Amino acid sequence: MLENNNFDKELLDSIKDKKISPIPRWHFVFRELAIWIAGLALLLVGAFSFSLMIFFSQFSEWGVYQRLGRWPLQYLFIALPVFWLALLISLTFLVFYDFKRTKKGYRYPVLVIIGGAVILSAGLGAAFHKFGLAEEMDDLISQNTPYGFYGGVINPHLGFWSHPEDGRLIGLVLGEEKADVYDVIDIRRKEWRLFTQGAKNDWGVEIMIGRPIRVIGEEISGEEFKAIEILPLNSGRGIFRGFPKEGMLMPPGPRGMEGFRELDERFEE
Amino acid sequence: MLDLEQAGKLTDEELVIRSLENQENFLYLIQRYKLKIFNFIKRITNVPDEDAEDLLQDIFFKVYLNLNGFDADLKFSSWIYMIARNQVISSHRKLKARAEGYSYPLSDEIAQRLVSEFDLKKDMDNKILKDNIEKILDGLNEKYRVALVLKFLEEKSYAEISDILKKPIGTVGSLLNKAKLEFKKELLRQDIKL
Repeated sequence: MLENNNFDKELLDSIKDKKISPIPRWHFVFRELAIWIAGLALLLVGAFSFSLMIFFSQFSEWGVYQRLGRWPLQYLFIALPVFWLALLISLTFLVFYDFKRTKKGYRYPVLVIIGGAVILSAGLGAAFHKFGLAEEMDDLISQNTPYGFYGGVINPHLGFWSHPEDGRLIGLVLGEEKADVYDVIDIRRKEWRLFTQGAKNDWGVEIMIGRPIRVIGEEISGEEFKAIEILPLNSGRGIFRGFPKEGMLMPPGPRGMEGFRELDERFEE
Repeated sequence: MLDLEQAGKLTDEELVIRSLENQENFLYLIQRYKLKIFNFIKRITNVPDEDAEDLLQDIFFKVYLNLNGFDADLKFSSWIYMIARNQVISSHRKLKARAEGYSYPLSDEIAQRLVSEFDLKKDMDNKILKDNIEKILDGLNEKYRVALVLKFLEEKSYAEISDILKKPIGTVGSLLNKAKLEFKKELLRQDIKL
């Protein structure tokens, strides 16, 4: 049957009967464009992940952790930006999957695509970090993410430092009672009287009201903390943006209006 | 609509453009490829002729439907073979050994090329050769059979096979090497002395 012309004509008649018509060109153009845009978006997010990896890695402070007597492996998990690394790996595979679906993506070997994605993410990520975008991104994320997730997963470095019972305090300076004595509120909204006289300050940290602070020391009582060493707070500063600052009325952060009113009444000056 | 003589002078790619302008011109593309695609279907599946014709019809429907998506950077033949292969796979038919009595239309030239490629006996009768090669191909995994059919029976280049299978050229090379090894193993397994 194939050898005669009936098959050809019948096939063409079938196309007409079924009203089959070619899918419009714009459909294919749009599809290709959508795949490329998705790929670029994934690359951008990957680049941000990489920039945040650099950002968090630069605050490793090996010396500090050694002094605190942490196991190297335990410290590795805290200091390494595991979340961002895992996100970068996932995004790289998504970029690979996406690129393979472009018109000519199938021609490239796996290693070339993945290698290219990693190099592009790394290059862009390094640029983002150099121009301060990583820090801005961290501020934004820490301000808008519940502390449990931010301190536990995204930036476990911060979670590690919120343990005054173990001699590590992180908080917002609310006021100065007298010289070297400050009122500080920690991540869990507990208030402390912080004594800084004689504390080591190799980083030259300026203690300012309305700015976050990080200290190594010891808990004297349930409300008092004696600082032995003062350190800068380099990441997660956005968490404190929800707290009220002197002279400024701030909208409540992720923890709600109740906490804001309570602090506003306590520190109305 | 073009006449036969005019159509005969046009390349596949030009016929695609003409088919988009006038549906009737698609007839010439059907005429050019119906036998090649039919043989390709028969070489990689076990379906009877009637089913192969149904598949062929579905393939041409798909070709016509996606004509605007044809990338002129590719050869049309690679594109239509790619659609054919995908359509065969998506129809979920099991690619088992072909039905009894069917014989691949192997030319003497192709048979001799296979002799040289697989290092077989050069003075063998072509008919015996063809019968045995078909038996061995039937025993292979689908991906190896398709690769060998495309390379040695359809005489596609590595670049064309890459476009048809949507795999990098390096992967096609590895696939064909493995396919040849599997062919030789199957040859031993079936105890065929070629």
